[in-house]
Amino acid sequence: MNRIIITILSLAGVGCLIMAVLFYASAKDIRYTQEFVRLTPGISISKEAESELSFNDYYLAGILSDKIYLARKGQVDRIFEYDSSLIFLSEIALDIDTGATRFTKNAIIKIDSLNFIIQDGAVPCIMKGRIGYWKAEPLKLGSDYFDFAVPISNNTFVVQITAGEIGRNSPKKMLGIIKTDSSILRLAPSVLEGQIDEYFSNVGFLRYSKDLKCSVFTYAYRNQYILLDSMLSVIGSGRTIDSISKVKINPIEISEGKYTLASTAAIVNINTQVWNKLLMVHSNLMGNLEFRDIFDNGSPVDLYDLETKRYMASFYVPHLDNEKMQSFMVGENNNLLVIYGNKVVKYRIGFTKHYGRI
Amino acid sequence: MKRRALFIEIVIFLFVLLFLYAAGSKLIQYKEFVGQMGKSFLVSAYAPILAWLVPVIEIAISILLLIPRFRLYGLYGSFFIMFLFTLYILVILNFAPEVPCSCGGILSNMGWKPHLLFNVVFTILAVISIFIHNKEFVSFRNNPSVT
Repeated sequence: MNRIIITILSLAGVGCLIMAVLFYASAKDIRYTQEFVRLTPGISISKEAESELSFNDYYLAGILSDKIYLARKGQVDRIFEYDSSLIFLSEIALDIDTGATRFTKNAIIKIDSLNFIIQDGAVPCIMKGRIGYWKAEPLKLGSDYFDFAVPISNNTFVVQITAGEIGRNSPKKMLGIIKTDSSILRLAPSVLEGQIDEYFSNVGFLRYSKDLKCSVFTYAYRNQYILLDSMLSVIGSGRTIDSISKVKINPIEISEGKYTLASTAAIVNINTQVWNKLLMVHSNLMGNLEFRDIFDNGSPVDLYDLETKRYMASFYVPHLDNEKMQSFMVGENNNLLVIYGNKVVKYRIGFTKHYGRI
Repeated sequence: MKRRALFIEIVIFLFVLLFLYAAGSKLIQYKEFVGQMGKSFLVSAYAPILAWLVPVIEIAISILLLIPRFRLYGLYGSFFIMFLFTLYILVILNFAPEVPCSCGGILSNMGWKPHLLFNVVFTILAVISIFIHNKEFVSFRNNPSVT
């Protein structure tokens, strides 16, 4: 009897020892081990309004001067209108001539000053209509699928596509331009520069700055963003404040043509937005001299001046009821809108005298 | 005494079923398994080795369980590996920034909390079986006619 207890206890002890060794030898989370300094005194944000949403699949479709529009993932025929203090106004049914179009869950609605645009790169399809009339007309497109499309003028979209035949060659993400009056897709295969592959290392976020009339692509797995003109020529590039210039990912093929990342999440930039002449980057990394409990209870957003490519300041968007910021958007009057699970919050961004003093 | 013997038989059957199923599904989807383990901060560095070592250990324990002479070692092995899996889940649940799953087949649809319970139950079953096995063994030694 005693011998059994001793054997069981010693086996359990060995088990604990193995786990302890594994734990102490384990790769430390790259989010906490970075060498850079984030400057937060330049900006303060204050909460102005909050509104409960009935589901957790809402996203920000657009912000106008007096209205805020939300939409729900996978629902292309509904848009939810709020006033600028987040009071719900109405649910708008969009008039869509779907015809033979079957939208997928990738479909999204974006609102942009006068127009609304519905896009679904898996169909592929882009529809456009006027705000107020809410009737969407399909634009002429080729048959090329795309990951996302960003309008840069009335009839021109910058798209990211994934090229490559399964089994033939590994997939490659690249940028291109679609002109909807001629439905021609012109690819620019060399604008995005992969590092260890052309797929995961080219994942990123494409935004358009109306003020600077250029597109901004920010890589997700490294500290770089590039500025592109309307012909997709690179007209500038900058680096985010962290020091990850080489992607820290390890893609492996799990079945033919299907890839996954075989390493702990090494994302650098989670999301971006362009605000006038500033690039706003929701970063995944904690800097030196930062407090772990602040980092664990908020989402850092770093600001870069797109003209000088300089880092200007950072601020934290605090978690709300333990929910992280899922997405954000900036509108007029320094309004910052943030979606958390099933809540939407409006903050106002304030600049202090320390802003931009580095 | 028969009921106890039956209990051990059932527990061993369950363990062999569990281990062979888990090992089989891991080996068949080897690459996917490596990918999933690679996402776990505890074992990512050893994923390619562990991805075949874990199923091989599971199969070896099954073989021990199936051979009556080595049954006790098999039960100790089952206890040890279930205890390790349970600890692993506890560490992952408490310390991992994101929670990946690398269990085989349908077990991966279980979610972490039910999986933890599942493992604790199996760990306890192994301990009980070891004690019962000992009693059976002792009574067998004292009175051979009992079998």
